[in-house]
Amino acid sequence: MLSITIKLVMSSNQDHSGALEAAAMNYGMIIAARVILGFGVGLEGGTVPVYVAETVERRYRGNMVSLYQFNIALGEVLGYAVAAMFVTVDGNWRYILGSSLLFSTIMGIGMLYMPESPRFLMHKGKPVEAFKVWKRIRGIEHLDSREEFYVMKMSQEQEDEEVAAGRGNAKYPWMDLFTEPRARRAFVYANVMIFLGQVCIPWHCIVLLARKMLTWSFCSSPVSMPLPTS
Amino acid sequence: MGKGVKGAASGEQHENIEMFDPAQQGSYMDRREMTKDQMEDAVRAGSVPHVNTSEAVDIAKNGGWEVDALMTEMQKEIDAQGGDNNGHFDLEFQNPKYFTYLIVAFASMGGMLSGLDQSLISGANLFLPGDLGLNDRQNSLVNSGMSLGAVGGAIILSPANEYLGRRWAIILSCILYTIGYVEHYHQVSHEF
Repeated sequence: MLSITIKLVMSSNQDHSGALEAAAMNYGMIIAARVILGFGVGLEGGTVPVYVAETVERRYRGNMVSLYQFNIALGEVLGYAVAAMFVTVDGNWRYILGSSLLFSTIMGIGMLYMPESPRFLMHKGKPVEAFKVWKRIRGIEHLDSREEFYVMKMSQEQEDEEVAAGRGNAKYPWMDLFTEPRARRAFVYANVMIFLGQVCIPWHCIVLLARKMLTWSFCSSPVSMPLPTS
Repeated sequence: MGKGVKGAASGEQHENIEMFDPAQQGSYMDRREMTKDQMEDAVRAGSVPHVNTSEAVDIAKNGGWEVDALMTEMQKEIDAQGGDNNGHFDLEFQNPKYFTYLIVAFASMGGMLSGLDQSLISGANLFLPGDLGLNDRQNSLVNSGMSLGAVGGAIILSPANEYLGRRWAIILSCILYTIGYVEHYHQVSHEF
């Protein structure tokens, strides 16, 4: 995939000067690096809120999922701090872009010690494993956790029966998103609203180019600028 | 498996009264008119009656005996398989609440990585085009390359969750992050 990306990029490069051809190799690599990074962001942006919602208690579920969104904003503030730290170091943009290697390593090692989501195990037909994980992370002393496990198991059994009985799209239940009218309406509405929100509101343009805009208009030194990126 | 557990239980159901055969009964309200002996029989035999979701929620709210029966049944299965053997990666704490804090701390770090990435490219934008000699078209492609990758990441999200599980999907995303960051650093040695 890396070589395909580089070839695509180099073929679209109109300029034929020698210096740019030497730089084109690095340009292709940084594009590939950004795209691979983006794969990680997209994958994690959907999985982490669901994982957190499946493992914590009902009382804290809303708080914890909002904590994920809060951390996104916190990360943007930290990005300013990191950029300010490295702006005087030679070869600085590499350290700026690669400095969150530390966080991703901590997170990767930490996630190895975390248990699998019990609701996912139940969905895959392993209720005993789900019970083992449930005992570890929720405890079965309190009535809340016992009831929730019970309701989870019963609704999983009901779902299995419905799929086995051939209701609608038996082999691919996710096709219900398109075939059932209520789900299809919600799907279309959500997609249109998010699309309009991203395209018609130029938030990303402002965020990505904020520093440059402020440098052109007001200040000369990049570090002395106030926080523009959120 | 889920079906297997029910199958084993229903095998023993024939010894008990038809009380526990869901096909012959009405709603769960009829089944709740059971004596204490019948309940104990059901728990011993491991036959938890089968209800659907709305009935299950009602049972749970009223604190029915089926909840405890399910726990006992599951515990019997675990003991039959040889007890809780937790490997090295299976943490266990005195108080399960610590687990909540730990899970949320590590999972939210993913959010921080998301925000960091989006903000750092803005900071690096001051020096990146000069260093690599990019013109404006190439520069904006570098800036939005991450969002482009996020499209691909969202597409592989559902298959990854189904086949790998949630925990391994998050670990896979960490591996992809690391590969991406190492590629950034790799250009240092490549240039010189």
